[in-house]
Amino acid sequence: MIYYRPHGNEVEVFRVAAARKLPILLKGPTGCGKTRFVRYMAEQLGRPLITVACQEDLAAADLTGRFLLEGGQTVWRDGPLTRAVREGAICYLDEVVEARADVMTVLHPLTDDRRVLPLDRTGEEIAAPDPFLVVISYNPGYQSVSKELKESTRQRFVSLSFDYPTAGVEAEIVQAEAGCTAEIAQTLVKLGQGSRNLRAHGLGEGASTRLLVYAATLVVAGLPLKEAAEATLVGSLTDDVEMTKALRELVRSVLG
Amino acid sequence: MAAPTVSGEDTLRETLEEYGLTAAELGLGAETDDDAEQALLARFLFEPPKRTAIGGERNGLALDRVVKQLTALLRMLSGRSFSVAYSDPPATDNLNIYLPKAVPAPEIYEQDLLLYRAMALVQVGFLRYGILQERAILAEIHRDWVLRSAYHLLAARYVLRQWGEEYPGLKEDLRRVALLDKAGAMRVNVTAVPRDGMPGAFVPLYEGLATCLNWRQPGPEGDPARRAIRVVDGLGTLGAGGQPPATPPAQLTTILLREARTLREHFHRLRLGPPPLPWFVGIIRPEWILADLARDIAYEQEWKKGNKPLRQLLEAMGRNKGGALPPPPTPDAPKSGLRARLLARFSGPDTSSKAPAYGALRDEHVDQARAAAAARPDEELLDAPPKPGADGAREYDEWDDAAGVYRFAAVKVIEVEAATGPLGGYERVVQANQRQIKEIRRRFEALRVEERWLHGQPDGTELDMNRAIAALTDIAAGHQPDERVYKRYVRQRQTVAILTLVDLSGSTQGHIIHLEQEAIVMFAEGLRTLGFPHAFYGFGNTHPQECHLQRIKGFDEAYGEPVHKRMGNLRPNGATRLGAYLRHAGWLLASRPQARRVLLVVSDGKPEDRGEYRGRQGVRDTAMAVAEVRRLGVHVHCISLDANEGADGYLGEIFGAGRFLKLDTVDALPTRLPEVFRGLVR
Repeated sequence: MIYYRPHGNEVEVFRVAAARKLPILLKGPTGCGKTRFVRYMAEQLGRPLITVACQEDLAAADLTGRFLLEGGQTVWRDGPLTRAVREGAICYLDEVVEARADVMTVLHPLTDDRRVLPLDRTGEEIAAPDPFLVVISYNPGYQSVSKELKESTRQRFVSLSFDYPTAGVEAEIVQAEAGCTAEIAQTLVKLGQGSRNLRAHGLGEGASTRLLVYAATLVVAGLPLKEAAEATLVGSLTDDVEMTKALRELVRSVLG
Repeated sequence: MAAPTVSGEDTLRETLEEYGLTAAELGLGAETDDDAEQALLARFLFEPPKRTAIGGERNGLALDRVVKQLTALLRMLSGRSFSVAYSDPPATDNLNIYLPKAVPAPEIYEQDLLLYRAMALVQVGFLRYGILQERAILAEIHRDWVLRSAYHLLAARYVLRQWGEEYPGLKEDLRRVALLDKAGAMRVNVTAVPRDGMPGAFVPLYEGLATCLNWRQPGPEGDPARRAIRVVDGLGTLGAGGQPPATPPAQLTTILLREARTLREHFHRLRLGPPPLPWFVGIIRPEWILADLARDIAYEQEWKKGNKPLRQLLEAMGRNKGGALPPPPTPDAPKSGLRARLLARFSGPDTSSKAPAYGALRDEHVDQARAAAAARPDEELLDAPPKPGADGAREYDEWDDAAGVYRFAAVKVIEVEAATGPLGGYERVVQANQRQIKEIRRRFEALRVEERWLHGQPDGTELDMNRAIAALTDIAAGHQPDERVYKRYVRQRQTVAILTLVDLSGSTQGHIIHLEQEAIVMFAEGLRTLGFPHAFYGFGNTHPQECHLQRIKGFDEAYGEPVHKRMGNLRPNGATRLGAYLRHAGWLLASRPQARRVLLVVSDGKPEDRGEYRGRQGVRDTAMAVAEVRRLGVHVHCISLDANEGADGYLGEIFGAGRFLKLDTVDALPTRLPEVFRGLVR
């Protein structure tokens, strides 16, 4: 059973969109729970989930499939997207803006009323079964010219915006995920929130909920809180010497 | 004992003159009794503040060494950004915080850092809890040093307790600070105080603030101070989950003032002057805040009245004549003569111009515009840049939000060379920021290349599986295979065309224009190294229909004396008809051959001009302009210096979420501008 703590109407919106076969776009900062949410929803809806972590070398052919050589013969092998279409699964493309531009092109016929996947190389056109769903995610905070989702693509999706949860909810999540005490969870959340105040002011990103869970996990495993915070909330956030010192000061201010 | 007649009399007089005080205000009236405590307090005034040699061996830690770390910590703790500038003793003007350049020698890093942190926390606490927000309170404590010092001590106690409650680690830090000799150095206002005694009536006020001094516990004379601190300690209540109260406790400042007034009466009865302040709690300077408020209010009123340029001109005319100002304009003033012409030029639609007036929009205008719009498809708007007229001006359409139509050729943009001046401006910035420029160049180096796989190569480091299989398939089918079956990883030189559009409107006058100047010089130094084609333009229109775009450095212009002179001499003027400037800059970029084109806008406020180009009209036209420019394949990003809370709303509407950066402190502009660019193209 996957743990997910809703902090808005995202479960409801996802459920309705999935029922109506509408593709979904998740936006939010690093480590705020987007991937966990998709896994949770796949479980809730009883559908298989195929996740693709996009990177800059990922091309359309990597998603659709390719011919391979087997015993001197060329054999077609489905890529993860084709497999998801055939199986009626949820295909989750994580950080889709990292992928090459042709990836979005191959998604287009799957994200409008056609819901088909044309495979040029085999000459097939696979109609997506009802349970098939495309979910993509990206982090608008990157703000790079080369890593933007085109407006025309964005408008093909139902959007769900994520951000870090409120302090109370985040503490609940940390406590539930790591099995730590409420007091430790609250302390770590306070540290996380402090570091997020430096977003775009010295840090690219503040501490993610995931990082707070890591810290709590280390504490539960017996590491002193200060050392756990140093290993996660200080060391993992920046290499800048001054920022590191400032984060250390924050840890000291909160923990004493 | 009578008023002091010791040899330090001159020092006293100088001190009083320097701070605009009278002896009576300091409790040093002629009727002073022969009282040991009073004598002691009077003597406090004669010891000059210790001087420290900044950067020399006799200093403790210098602020420059810790300022980055300190501002980051303050932002994390408080959620707000602050500029830190120099002042000794520490102070705030409700916007920035001011700290000493260095703490006294010897340097003990950990202790000195602790001290800086405590100094900053007091000042940030004053901002956070609105200690210096009430104008009436500031006015009351302004000339009354006893009241001011009492209010200050109580407020400092309150904010430090709050920090300690919220952050347990800080509680311990602040306890340690109170034990530090340096922190406990006493001053009456800005004058250092020897620490060999303290009037008993004051002593309870320092409990927890300067426990290093270890004074004897006072008798009944200390009761009012004890009662006051009990009241202050009772005020601190944190919200749920240990969070600070969303708003300061009700009537916080009123209660602090009430207690301070009570203490003042008590001290007056005992013929005592102002209680000295521990050095690290700094000084309250109501005059800084009241002066700022007064200036802001005057400025705002001036703009509300409109006609600012006219008024300035009229004032200048009045001064030139050496006589009184002309009477304010009245609606039925005669429509002839210089003044009437000026009025017509600055206060209303320009009827002498053939360009359509923006002010009076009649139904037939709307109908004509709609008809023309219908006959002219959207694409045409973007087909080609407007052709320059005989005067070199290009006409641009503007979006009329009220009518929901484009008004064709509503505004002219004329490129002109930016003002020039001495070379020193540019050189000074380069000299003063050598370290930062070096760092910018280093970071920009990484942007020179982009790394990627080149597929389908005749030779390479790895087999390109797709192509290799295709080749084998072809062989199996008896076809001639393509031999380009390799791929290789390359680091390619990339180029991005970048145009920076800098706000030079009248509102940037003063600090902002200097920072903009510094920012573009530092940015230019980085871009020069990088070799990307780039241009800098400044905007600020003095006429609603004629927008002069100031070329600071054109794309094809080489760096040299003329460019340096323009960069080092930016001059603010005019309003912000941003839509027109964006459209023109968009075309400048669209004509560049580079595949990636970036338009960076630096602005300090809403797009506004005279006439109807303000409020929704200004925002909507600019938003339309941004959309048009993006359709040309230009990436538009804004760095806003508008610190107002509501700025996110209009910035999001114009540039889109995630496509603008609102700086909390304008001082960050020189370092943030290159960083934003780096983030955009990496």
